[in-house]
Amino acid sequence: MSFARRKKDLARPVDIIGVGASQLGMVCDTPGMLNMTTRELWSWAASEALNDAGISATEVEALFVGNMIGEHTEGQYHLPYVLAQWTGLGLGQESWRSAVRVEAACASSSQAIRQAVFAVASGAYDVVIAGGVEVNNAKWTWRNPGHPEKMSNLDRVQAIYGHYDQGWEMPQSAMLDHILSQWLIAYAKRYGLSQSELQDAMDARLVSNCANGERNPKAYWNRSLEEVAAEAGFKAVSDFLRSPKYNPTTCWPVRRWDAPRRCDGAAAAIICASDLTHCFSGRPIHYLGTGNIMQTSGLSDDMWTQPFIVKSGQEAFDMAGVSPEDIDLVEMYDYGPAEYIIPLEDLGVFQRGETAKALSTGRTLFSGDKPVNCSGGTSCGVAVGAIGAYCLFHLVKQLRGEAGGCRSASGSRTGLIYDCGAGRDAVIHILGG
Amino acid sequence: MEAVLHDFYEHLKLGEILGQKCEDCGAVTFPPRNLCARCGSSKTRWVKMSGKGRLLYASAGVHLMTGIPFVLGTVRLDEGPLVPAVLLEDDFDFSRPEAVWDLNATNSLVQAEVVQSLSGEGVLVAFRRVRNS
Repeated sequence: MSFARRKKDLARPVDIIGVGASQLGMVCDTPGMLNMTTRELWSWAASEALNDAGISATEVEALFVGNMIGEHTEGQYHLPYVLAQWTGLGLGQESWRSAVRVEAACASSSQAIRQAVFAVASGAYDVVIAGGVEVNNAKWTWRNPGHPEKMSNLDRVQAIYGHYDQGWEMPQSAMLDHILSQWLIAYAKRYGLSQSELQDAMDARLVSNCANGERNPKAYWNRSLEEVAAEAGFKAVSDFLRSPKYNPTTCWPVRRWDAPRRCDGAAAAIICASDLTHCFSGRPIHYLGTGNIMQTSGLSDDMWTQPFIVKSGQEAFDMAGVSPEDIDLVEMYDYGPAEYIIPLEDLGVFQRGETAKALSTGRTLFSGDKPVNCSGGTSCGVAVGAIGAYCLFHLVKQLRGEAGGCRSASGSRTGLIYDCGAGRDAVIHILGG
Repeated sequence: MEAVLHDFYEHLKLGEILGQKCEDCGAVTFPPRNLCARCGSSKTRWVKMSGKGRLLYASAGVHLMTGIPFVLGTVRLDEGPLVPAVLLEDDFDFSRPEAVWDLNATNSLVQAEVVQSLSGEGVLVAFRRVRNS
């Protein structure tokens, strides 16, 4: 038996009617976040999203939360019933809800949002809350509740490395930073970039992300790169970024500053059936389509393109009924320069081989014609299990024209989110104003 | 069903690299799984891998858990599968990691070797370039 595959669509239209996000930062260091846990961070994001939507927590029918390493940082399983209490959803003798956690490495919150969208589109629920939360750099246990302590680097690496196949990739030392460096080398060779030109493109990405992120009040890192370079005694940012002392190579050609700036945080969205959005005051943004393709390894014969990213984009564009040229701006989980350049070209946001030029000519800046990461991207902070929800938060604000200082100048109507779990699980969301 | 993971590593400890060949579609699954990676069939049987392949890509950097620098390769095995594997490059100078540039896009012949893992626990499938290839 077999069947002809049909075009995929949401069974009924779905809107985002509210978004919220905590500050990004470190619960052990950042003023305003000190001693917070997943609970307070989630409350922060959820209450902002509920207020933004103009909806009471009592009206929310279900909760979908993404979280990656909570077992390691808080010893907590079954996080959703805990977070439901910290969302004002009750749970008890007089209040009954569905609440689930979704874990998909760095795509955890994107997958939670997808499941929430599908739940509303199916008619099972009319209005739900979805998002993600991560305490990435601190841990505590029941012996000392609410007293997070900084994790050692090794402890953190071990927790995060749970995303590798423990039966093959871990024993085999098949590390993602290596594989992503191979993407970059393959890209440079494909398009005839010299080693120096490749590093120019990597520098330009950092400059673009940081110039955007400087204007994002929720960013963990929003200092000017020029200032940082000047403090270290460099007149030019490029000299600072090429300095082995200040920017040592980690996995060639990738350097310390190219890596995601890991931190803690939470973001949430209220997802509602489109025919009910008039009941609430939040300005709806349409959830037009989504795509998700899982691949085992991030390896391919031609590493300069990743078929799983191409296919996830095709799925999302088909569902949304838009083409790559219609995308006005992008928020993405850019896990280093490889997962910036390759997805932007595989999704058709930029022409093949053109991303370096787009970066160097300012097209990706908030003031450019194709802004990428007005939020600052991972250069300005990433809470792994919440990153997709942060992208959604920023994109909704942009499409509503409410993004303040980092508002894009392009009169954006349609936006795309790229999230990816461990370099193999691409999730695309397309939103329209 | 067999305990495929257990049996694969037991053989690997003895220096023998095994895959699974599908009796329905003929594909070789490596690393081995109970079901064929191409067609999903459960009619698979153990086969000894040739250990031969071509090096497509390589990268050089530190293993974050152990602090040990190493070269990772992406290898297309003669039997078909694409695998990530430590590349044994005895003369590689990690103070000049950009030298890894020249190991890319060479399509060099490589041969598998079973060696101790970087952490010292257990074994892994590594590859070495075959000289004069």
